[in-house]
Amino acid sequence: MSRLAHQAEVLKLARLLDLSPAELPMLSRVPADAVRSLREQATHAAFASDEAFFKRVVAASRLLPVPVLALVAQHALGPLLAARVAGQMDVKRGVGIAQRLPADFLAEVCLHLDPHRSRDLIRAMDVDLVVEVALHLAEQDEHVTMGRFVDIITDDAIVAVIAALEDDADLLHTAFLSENKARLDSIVEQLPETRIVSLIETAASGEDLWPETLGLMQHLSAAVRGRLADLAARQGDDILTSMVSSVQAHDLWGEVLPLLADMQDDARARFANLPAVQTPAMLGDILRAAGRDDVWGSLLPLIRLMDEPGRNRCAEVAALLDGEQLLHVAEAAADHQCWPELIDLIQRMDPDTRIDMISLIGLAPLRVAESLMPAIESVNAWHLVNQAWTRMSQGAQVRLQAAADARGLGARIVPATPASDGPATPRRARPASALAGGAPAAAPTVAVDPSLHDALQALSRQVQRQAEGQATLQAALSEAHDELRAMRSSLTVLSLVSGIAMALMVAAIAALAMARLTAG
Amino acid sequence: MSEHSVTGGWQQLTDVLGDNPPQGLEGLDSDQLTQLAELIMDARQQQQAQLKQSLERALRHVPALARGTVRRVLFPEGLS
Repeated sequence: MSRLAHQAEVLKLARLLDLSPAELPMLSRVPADAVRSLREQATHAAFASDEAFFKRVVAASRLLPVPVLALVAQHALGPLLAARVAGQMDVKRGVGIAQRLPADFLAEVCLHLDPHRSRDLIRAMDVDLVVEVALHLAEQDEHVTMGRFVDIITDDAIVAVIAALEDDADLLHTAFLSENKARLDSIVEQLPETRIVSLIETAASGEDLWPETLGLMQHLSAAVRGRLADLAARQGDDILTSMVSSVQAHDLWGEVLPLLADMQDDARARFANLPAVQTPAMLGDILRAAGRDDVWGSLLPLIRLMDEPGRNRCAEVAALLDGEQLLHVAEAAADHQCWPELIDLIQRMDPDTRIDMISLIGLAPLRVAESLMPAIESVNAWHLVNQAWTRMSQGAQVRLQAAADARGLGARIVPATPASDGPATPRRARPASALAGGAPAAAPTVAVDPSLHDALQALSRQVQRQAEGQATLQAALSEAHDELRAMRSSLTVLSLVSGIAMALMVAAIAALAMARLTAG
Repeated sequence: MSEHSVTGGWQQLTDVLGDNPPQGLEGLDSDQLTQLAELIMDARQQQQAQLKQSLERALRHVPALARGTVRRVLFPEGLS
């Protein structure tokens, strides 16, 4: 489920617990399905704990006639108790009581009702009464409650309620919070075009209901979604621009890009070329979201529909992606057969980035490289591979060569000399196994984007400087070593001389002492 | 068996729900699970208090002489 579905589920649980969604931060990474299950379990547990008591109340109520019970429900029980009693009431008596109660009281009862426990009773109610109750709920902005009943009320009641709801914002809020999203498809399918256009205009209004509208669209079938999206694309630039701004503000590109796939090409082209989309900041956000939410497969076909300046802008922004993101793009191109779009984008990049891109694809899983080869052949873009060849790592060369060989296109790889920029001529194919043990590549390249490239170059210069410094230091050390050796020799001679001198002195003293003794 | 099956938070939430919590909650730590259990328990206690208040109000409509009998029929174990 999407982030929008998660948002809706947290909102519904918060409502059950009488909290704000911000008070449930621990659920930020819990899947929407689990949040929903938790709410259902909590609801069940709360109602189950009182079940025996309310069964006794309903049993006692059988002693009273329906008109009296209606009076008791409204004036003695109140909406909270009436809702609990309704869950145990048999359908015939329940409908009889409901028909005698005012719609505003029934709307209050709905706030406390577990629709699943009263399903049969709700479905047996008169459509006009259901509509009246729904209008009261809408008036109080009780969209969470309305959404809980979408799963329960009959088709006739749904059609009647939609027709009666004048404010499309109520419809969008309710659909967003609806319990049964599968049912929305048939509901939207039956809406007339004028109503859908009105919904789109409401989404674009000052209230900004695009997240609700997009959340609804996620649950529609491709056909119904496409109809809605095409109608949206036919609206004025102001409406589409409001959607683009809202999607950016709510960080929903990852949700929106897959929805666009169901639009007609002309509608998508109009969207892709909107001035609001074609700003570098917006394109940057779109590309980042595509990488983060893994929806490159939806984005690449959209880039194909951009005009020339638009594609150039996209190429400029794509050139700033980091190596990991670029690898994702390559994998998406392989998975969604979008190589022509990606090759077109690569061809619009500067020569160094082109080389980095191709070198990087050489590092992608083999299936990616294998799927690239026929695409390169079909658009005759072998010069991209050939120009990059001498600057890619040996591993990348082996992989690309193996991929080309596997497709019988090995002979198309003709490494270009650094100065050559023209189309390469075919050369003899060589098996990948031969390359594995072959001569090492000239300069293994791992550069990914310009900033990394610059950083690597700076690092290389630093290493070179360090090597030069080391050599100088070594020479100085060697010189010092020689000097030390010379000093050591001098010291040896000096110590010998001083030793002899010392010996002579000792001998002289000894001779003097002997002479004195002899004289004495 | 999940690693949470022995932690206090998981057990507390299981007790409040009367069943094993959904699998998607297994990524939460024990403190977060305890916090969730307490929030659900607080909401339930609040609702119980509202129900009790509503019941007391409803019983005021029963004539004083019959009120005791009605109360005993509806609450054989006493109003909780």
